Amino acid sequence: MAELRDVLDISLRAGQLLLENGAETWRVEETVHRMGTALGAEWLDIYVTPTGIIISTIAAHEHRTRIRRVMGVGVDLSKVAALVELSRRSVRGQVTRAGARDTLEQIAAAPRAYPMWLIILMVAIACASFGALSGAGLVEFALTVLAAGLGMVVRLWLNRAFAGPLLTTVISALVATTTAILGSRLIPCPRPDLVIISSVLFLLPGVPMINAIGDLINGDLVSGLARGAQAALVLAAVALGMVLSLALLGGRL
Amino acid sequence: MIWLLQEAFLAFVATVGFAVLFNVPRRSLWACGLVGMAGYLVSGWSSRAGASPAGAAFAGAVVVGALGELFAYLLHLPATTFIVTGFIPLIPGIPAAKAMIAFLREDYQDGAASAVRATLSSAAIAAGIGSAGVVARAVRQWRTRA
Repeated sequence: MAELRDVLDISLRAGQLLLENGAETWRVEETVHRMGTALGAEWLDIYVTPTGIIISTIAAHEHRTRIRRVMGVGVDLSKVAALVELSRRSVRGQVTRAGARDTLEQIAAAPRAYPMWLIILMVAIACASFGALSGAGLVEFALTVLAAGLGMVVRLWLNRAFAGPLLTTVISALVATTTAILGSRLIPCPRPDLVIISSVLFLLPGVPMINAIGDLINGDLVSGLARGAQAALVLAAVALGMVLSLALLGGRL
Repeated sequence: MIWLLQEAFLAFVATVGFAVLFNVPRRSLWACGLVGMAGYLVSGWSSRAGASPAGAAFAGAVVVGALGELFAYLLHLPATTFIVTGFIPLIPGIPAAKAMIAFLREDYQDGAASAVRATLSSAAIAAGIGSAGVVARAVRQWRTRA
């Protein structure tokens, strides 16, 4: 059945895009299920883990099953919103299978809503603001903007170049911490420790930490444990970068 | 009074910063900031009122979840948009990082204490968001039936 194969193909692509852009496990399953049944399947079984998706589509006593490997998880909430909107439109019968396929590829290719320099600046200011919330002053704020911004530039560059996510995290944490230590030696301030810790906040795996436990509560045990392991690895990578820099420069935390 | 405004402003800016990183739709940026700010302020009040760190995180997360569902309805976007950005200021990032640093320095007792603290607060955030989600689902079902 060509129709069933089409639905399976579209469902896998939609699930992959949702997962790669930071949707929760239950949302991937719910969104793909709605879309698949709206586009012609009678039932779908969807099994989502952070590293791959398995989907079975069933219609008129026929079934098809496929696996899609998923790599590299980031967060792009505009894409998640667009995918959820597409599933809602297909439930209302406003999308054909060919239309859904085209829309999915448009969503996948959509550029970021914000220019790169603005992302770097805003992330740096956000890290410095968290420092200020813990009691940092103006000098610490400025130093944190500089250190976190530089770390963010390095992270974006390494992501695009060659390094895997863990190596990227170690090097970015190393650069951010080194800048923070040297900066707070050049311009003395009362709380150099806050500069150091605030400068690496953008590297911490906050979203997997929370989603891991959310998955476990929802009964998605495999996905929850996998996300928890991922969060622990990224945390260890951040700590490794920081400890290397602190040891090299004799800094204190 | 001034410190409260300052705290609110910083939490708003910090949340908007991460919302830009997470590429939320532009029209929802202000709402993401408000959700993050409200969650942070409520968790701050709770801990000043004597709640444990995990208890304060739970209170903040309930507010983030509830406001996230509300803005999802008002702005026709998935609640994920507001919830993922809104819980950023609540995340126990500093204890989690301190735990790993302590482990690398072979200071296992401090490391374990920080790790437990971070895990408990993360669990409280996930539970708070989940609780708000259950209530939101009940409200939606009740509205469609009525």
